[in-house]
Amino acid sequence: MLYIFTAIYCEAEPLIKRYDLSPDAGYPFGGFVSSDGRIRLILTGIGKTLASAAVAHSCARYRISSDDILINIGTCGGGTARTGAYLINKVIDGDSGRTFYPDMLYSTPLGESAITTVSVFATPDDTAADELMLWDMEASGFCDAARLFVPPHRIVLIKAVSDNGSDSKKDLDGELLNSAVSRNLDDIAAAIEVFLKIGETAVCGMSDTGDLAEEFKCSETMRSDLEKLIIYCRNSGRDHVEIIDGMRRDGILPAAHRNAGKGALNEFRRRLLQ
Amino acid sequence: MNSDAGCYNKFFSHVYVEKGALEYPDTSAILGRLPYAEVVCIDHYKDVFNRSHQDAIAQKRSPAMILAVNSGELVYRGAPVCQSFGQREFYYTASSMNCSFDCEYCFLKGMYNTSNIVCFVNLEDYEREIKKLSNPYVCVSYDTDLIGLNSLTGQADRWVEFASENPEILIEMRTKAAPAKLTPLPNLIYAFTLSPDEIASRFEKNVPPLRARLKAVENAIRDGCTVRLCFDPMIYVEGWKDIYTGLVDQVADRIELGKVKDISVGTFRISSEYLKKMRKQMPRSEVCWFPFTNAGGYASYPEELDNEMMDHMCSVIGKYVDEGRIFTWR
Repeated sequence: MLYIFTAIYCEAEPLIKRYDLSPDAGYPFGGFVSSDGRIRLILTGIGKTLASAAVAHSCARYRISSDDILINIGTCGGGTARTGAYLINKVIDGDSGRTFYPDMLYSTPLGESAITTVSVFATPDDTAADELMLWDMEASGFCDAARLFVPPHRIVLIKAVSDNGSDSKKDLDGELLNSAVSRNLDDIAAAIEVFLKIGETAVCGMSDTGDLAEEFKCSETMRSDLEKLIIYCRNSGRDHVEIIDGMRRDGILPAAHRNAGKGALNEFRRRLLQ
Repeated sequence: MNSDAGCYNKFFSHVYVEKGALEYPDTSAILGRLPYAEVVCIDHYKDVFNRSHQDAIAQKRSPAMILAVNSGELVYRGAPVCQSFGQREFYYTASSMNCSFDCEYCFLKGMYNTSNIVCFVNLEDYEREIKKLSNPYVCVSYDTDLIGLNSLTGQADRWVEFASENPEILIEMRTKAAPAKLTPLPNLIYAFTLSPDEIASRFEKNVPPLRARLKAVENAIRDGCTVRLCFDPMIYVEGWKDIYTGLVDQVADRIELGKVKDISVGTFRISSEYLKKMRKQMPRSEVCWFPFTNAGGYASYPEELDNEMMDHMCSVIGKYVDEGRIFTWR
């Protein structure tokens, strides 16, 4: 499932419309969800602390696993030469200097850039000082929390350039931010399409040994060994049921007591490798 | 083919370059060979290489290259599970870390948290350290496959040059690649790892098939290279005896074994810690989930099976080669 994190509604609105997301009340972080449940959008509020809190809260609330993809989509400042939307390959926290690198495994139509997250709006002087850098207020906070819950290839940041820095908050009105996302919506949607296509990894947990462990009179250690043997059977295409049935026919199972069970486990291993 | 196949970037679509590595000629050369790669500047290679929670299996679909300067230890004493081939001063070094091949059983999957590849561009520092050693035998391609990566990094060529300039230093370069041409030198051993097709097709992704590797061995011998053959690690599968007998017969059919320096034989064994990690990463792996025996921090096949595999392989090879030229890891 895709979890999209945006700071404010005006940045989220084009995505909400595009994917026909319905409101999904939540406190303290409200959001929207698609009818097929494949996309959930969460509004974080402005700044890296809120971004961090929203990711952590959502990961806990929605039981986000390492198969899910977390995407931070928003606007940013950039030098006069920077336009469009970018996939972020390096995040620098402007206060601490810490860096974060999402894995760039997936091919999207977006260009790439590094971004610096700052606590106050980047000024025109900031953006002019490093023409190749982008500036935002959430990315490092988003990454700080996201990296605790999902692997780096499941962390994605897409930023649309809305301005060249500003000396006053008033310059950055909702319309400006909304139109930065809207202008680049096709590119952003093409990238989202790629992330939706990424197959979820089938999680193979330990095998459920259930009653079989009883038959072997398993201790905890023996149960773990039995589980591993059954996984090996599954992975190597051998039928453990056939072996176990044979052991039943030979009177080895069910084991009378723990010691007999240990012997039975060794016999299972031996027959498996015959 | 998976439905998500087209979603992945190509191999080395991204190159992370340490600031300190930017000025090195090898950096320029490697970047020149990857003109379309996205270059990301980093402070230290460990910022990318050692990140927590990486999914090395997913990264195998699109590994990144990291160019760095190694300021740590450059040469190590050989590990006990590695074969010294009777050489007294046995060392190994890692001018690159990780491999572009994708072998299910590879210990690198347990050793590193990532499938990204580090290439250290300060090779001259390695060379300086090795020159300080007395009569060393140095394996340069243990934690990587230098020949497999050579078209990109050029490091195999650099080690050949080093061996040529330092005839007193014995170098071993191990590979699963199938290079068309190799430079013959008396102090440079090319060690080819050979696996039966049944094993290679199931457990060795992106690796040249046996016939290509045998062709490379043939060419190397023809050109006068010192060649070592490695049947290591042998992997247990149903019917292993016939499979490995077939491999040796196939090799003997193609290669003049009398011209091979020596042959190494070893069964799969691995640090128990690495195995634990690999099992977590590969819950469907047949190789990793084998019910191994654990002793002294290493996992290996049960003694009886292990002996049977080793003895069988040595005896089949013994039909073609003197016993004295067959080395085992025990």
